[in-house]
Amino acid sequence: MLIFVFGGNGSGKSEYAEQRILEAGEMPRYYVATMEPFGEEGKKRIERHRKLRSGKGFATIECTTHLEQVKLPERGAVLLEDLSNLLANEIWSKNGRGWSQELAEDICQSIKGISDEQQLLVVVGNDIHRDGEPQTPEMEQYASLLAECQTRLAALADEVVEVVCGIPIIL
Amino acid sequence: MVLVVGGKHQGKYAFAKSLSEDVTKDLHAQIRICMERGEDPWVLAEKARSSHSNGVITMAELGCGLVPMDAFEREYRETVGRISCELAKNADAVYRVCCGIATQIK
Repeated sequence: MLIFVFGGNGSGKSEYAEQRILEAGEMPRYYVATMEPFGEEGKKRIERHRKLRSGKGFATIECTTHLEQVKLPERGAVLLEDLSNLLANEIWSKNGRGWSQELAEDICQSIKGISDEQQLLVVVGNDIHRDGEPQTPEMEQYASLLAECQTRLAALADEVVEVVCGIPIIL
Repeated sequence: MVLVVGGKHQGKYAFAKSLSEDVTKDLHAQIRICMERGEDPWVLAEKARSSHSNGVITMAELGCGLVPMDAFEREYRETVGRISCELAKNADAVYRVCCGIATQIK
């Protein structure tokens, strides 16, 4: 089962995604963390997410780039958070692949691979396309790749849920 | 309390007025002023909620764009998002207004 959860910044999408994992019952739980801890704000954000998950039995697996290399020891429920970081890291991080038109397709392929082996995979995405204009051609390209990634993922997913101020809306 | 969210200029206020005379308009704008003054926006939000328990609060959905370059802007939109989650949790009903059309989501 593949669930795609997306929403704006501060919309409560993480909390909802996590709740879906917990509702799936007792099984190994994995948190695939994609964020690189840049600066104080990044650290704070990661700390907030850690607090949310603490005591809920998640094993954290760091994966800032190359999702296809992630190995999960057992079959269970996986929370992958989030697509905007993963894509940005692939493009701009020194360990990433750099710009490639195939990035969206490849990331979705990796997601499909994990989903096929697992009981449940919940992927968190980001609603970044409804406000403001990208300020540079590079940001425009990034926004367009993320949109492609999320559109492909939505087509693959069994369920697509938008979260609005903490309220899930099934799309 | 009823919460009405949505993008800017989508008709939140007109819809809110159709529900009640007691409308707290654009709470997000008040949150910005509050944060610019260095005050606690959560106190403001709680006051808006508790003093208008039969009223309507409107606020913009701000988190649906690229991450702002400016640190204050990032903190501001994050705070608006978190406060709207909290208000939604305690609201009797939540509507989202898009192009003047209100959808009840809670």
